[in-house]
Amino acid sequence: MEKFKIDVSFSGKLENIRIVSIGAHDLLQQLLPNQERFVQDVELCLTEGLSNVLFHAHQNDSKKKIRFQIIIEEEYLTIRIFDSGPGFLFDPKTIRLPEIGQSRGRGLFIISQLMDEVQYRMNRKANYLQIKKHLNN
Amino acid sequence: MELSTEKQGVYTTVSIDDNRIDVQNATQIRTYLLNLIAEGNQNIVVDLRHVTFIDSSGLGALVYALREAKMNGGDVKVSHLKSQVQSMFKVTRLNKIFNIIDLPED
Repeated sequence: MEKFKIDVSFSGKLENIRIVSIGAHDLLQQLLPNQERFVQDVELCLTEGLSNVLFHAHQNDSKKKIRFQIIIEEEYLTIRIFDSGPGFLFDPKTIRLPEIGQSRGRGLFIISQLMDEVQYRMNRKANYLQIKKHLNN
Repeated sequence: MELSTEKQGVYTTVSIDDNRIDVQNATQIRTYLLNLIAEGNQNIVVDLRHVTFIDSSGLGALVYALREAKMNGGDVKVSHLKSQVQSMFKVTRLNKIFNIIDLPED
């Protein structure tokens, strides 16, 4: 059962990613007091997911909106990050760190390390990355 | 964001006056470091004492600078890592290629 849900849509500009990530952090701090490490991990994964949408799915097109949801249930916090790009085949088992000297490609790996479940779903209306983390009750 | 530079012997220390290195300022930091290296300052210490949040873009900027410095016979070290930053270096195993020159602040 949902205890909390927000659904946010914003102009997909680079500077807005920081603004909404900090906003999500502050909101989660209120909802999940004394769980700063958990909240920080979630904020980081949100930032990584939003950046992937802007740079990869939306090809830096800041006119496209980026939408995400944060849902808190009894046991899990779930983030869904939607994109209107072509989508990509995604198998969480194949997420690997890039070669250590590479300057790109760590975002999904970080998400997979900090969250408990990572899925990417494609459908006709919109694709979305869904990531879940078990709440530290 | 302000970036400041101080020369100490062969090392150039770069201080980042922002508590975040993320998708918003990573390119600026990367360009700043690459310009320093191009000007002959290939041994750099990046002082991260103010940084409480780093994402993959921020890590990528530091890796890019490290690669460039090493190609020029130098090094990029990082110092004063806060807990989230230190954790990200461990998660991404960048602690294996970066010289972390002091203990975390918290």
